[in-house]
Formats: sequence, structure tokens, C-alpha cells
Amino acid sequence: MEESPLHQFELQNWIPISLGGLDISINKAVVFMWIVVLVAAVLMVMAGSARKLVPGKLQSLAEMMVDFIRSMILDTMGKEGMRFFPLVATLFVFILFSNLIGLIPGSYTVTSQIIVTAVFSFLVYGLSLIVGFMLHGAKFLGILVPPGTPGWLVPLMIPIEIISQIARPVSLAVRLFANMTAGHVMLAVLFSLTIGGGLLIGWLPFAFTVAIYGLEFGIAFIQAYIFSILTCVYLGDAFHLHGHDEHAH
Amino acid sequence: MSNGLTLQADLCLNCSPINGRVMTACSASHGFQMAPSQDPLYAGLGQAIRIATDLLAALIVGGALGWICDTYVLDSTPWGMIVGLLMGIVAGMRNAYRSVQRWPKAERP
Repeated sequence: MEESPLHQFELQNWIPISLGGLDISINKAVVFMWIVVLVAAVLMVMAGSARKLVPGKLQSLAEMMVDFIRSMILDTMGKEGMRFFPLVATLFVFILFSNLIGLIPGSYTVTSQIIVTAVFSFLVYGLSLIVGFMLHGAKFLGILVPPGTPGWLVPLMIPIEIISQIARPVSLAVRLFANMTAGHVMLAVLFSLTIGGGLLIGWLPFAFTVAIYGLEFGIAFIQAYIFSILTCVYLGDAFHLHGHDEHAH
Repeated sequence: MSNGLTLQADLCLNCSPINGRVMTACSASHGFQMAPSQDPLYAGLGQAIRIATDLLAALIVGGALGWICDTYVLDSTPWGMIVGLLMGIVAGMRNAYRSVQRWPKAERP
């Protein structure tokens, strides 16, 4: 029987639980989210427990990752951004591990559910708004009028800036979700072509499956990187109001 | 990731000039630092993905706001959506321009 390429994203309730009308059933996505958290936590604790001067393989991988996130934060937010290091690092590690674990055949990609990515992105954006209003008060509304806007353009700029501000969490959520979903649909379509093609022509889509799989491996890193660097950028915008001009050069 | 190896070396947690072996281990790890974002192919891919969704998301938000205005607030079909989509295009262009502006020099095309 032919399976739809979207079948892999369907969720069945494995253990139906209902709490006061709220559906909190355990399904595949929930289980895989636990697995991702478990794998990431165990690997990181294992990497952190050795603390040798000359690091082993796992420790140097973890140090590389910490160093990478650290320089990302310092580049975009500066020194005061380091207090968000736990948040950014958690997002990076969680997204990276769920993307990578999702690439194992038969498993589930947690980030291919838009609700997961949307919760992350609205959390990040909400946090940046809170930080901005806490630091700058009502002056934070000045992000709606970019510096150097002529007076007669202000009534036009404000709605445009409101749209572009709302678009930030939306694009953050849609980008991760769409990339993971599209990649897995593409893999499913190509692999079903391989099975349908048989030995005569099936090698061709199979070669593409392997190539796309390699690309998806890179995409898993890129998406984690993009999500966390945009987290830094949005939080940094809240820190330095109109500060992006200095970063431009 | 942007300012080259000199800044990297300053930031590195375990670089120390006294220990030659640590130093080499460190530069080796920087050579392979989280490979995909360093690789020009993947850096370009990452930028393309960012720009594409920047444009798209603003368009969706603008259109949605216009549509909400049309159906629930003003009953002005189709003008709210038309204006919303136009503003969404402008906002998307602006977001895309802004993210290009912010790229570190080394990554700029």
C-alpha cells in the first residue's frame, strides 16, 4: 500500500490523558522530545564530567560548541548578553539534537511540529520585548520609528514596522518548521520512488536520497545555528535600542 | 565566527601559550569549528534560508492583519487585505535588508 509522504508527521495518542478538558496525551512527538532531552543531557553531563586539560573527543566537541555559542553571543550582543547564555545554549542544543535525532530512520523530528517551534520563537520574542521594556521603558516603542526617518514618513513607517516586528517570531517559527518538514517530505518522496522504481531505475532516486540526506545533515546544524543567532539578534536589539547601525560596519 | 582566528584565540576557554600541546589542540578545533556555518556553501545556504523566510513571514503577517481588519473590524473587503499585503511586502523587504546589513563582513557576499 502506498503511504503518503506526510504520513510520517501524523501523531496518534499513545496514552490518552485528559486534564480538565485539556488534551495532554502522550504521543510520538512527546516521547521523542523526552528522548532528545535525555540524550542531550546525558551527553553533555558526560562531556562535562571529565574536565581534563587535554580534552577527550566528547569533551572537545562540547567545548567547541560552548565556544561557538559564546562567540556568537559576544558578536551579536556584547558582554552583557552573556547572561542569556543558558537560554541560547539550551535552544541550540535542543534544536540541534532534535534535528539530528530526527534524521535517524524511523524516529520522529520534534521540530517538524509548528507548535514546538512557535512556542520557542514566541517565548524568545516575548522575552526580548520584556527585556526591552524593562531596560528602556516607554522609549522602547522607539523601535517602531527607525532613526533618520523623515517626519512625513512616520505614519507610514509605524504600521510597516509593526508588521515587521510581528513577522520576526513568525518567520523564526516557520523557518525551522518548514525546513525540517520539507526536508523529510523530500526524503520520503525520493525513497518511495526508489522502492517503486525497482532495481532498473530505482538507483537514481536512491542516489538523490543519499545526497539529500547529506544536505539535511547540514541543514540540521544550520537551522539550530540560525535559530540561536536570531535569538541573540532579537535580544540584542532589545538591549541596544537602534544599536544595529554600529554592527553594520 | 566572524572576526577570524585572533579573536577566536582570545575567547577560547583553554588556550594557553604555556602549554604547546593545548595550543595545537585548540587551533585544530578552531579549524573545524562547527563546520557547516563556516563552509561557504552552508553559510550561503543559511543566508538564503533566512532571507526567504524573512520575506515570506512579513507577507503572511501583513495579509493576515489586513484580512482580520476586513472581516472583524472594519468590513472593508478587500481593501484591508490589499493594503496589508502591500505593507507586508515593504516590511519583508525591510526585514531582509536589515538582516543583510547585520551580517559580519566575512560572511557578506
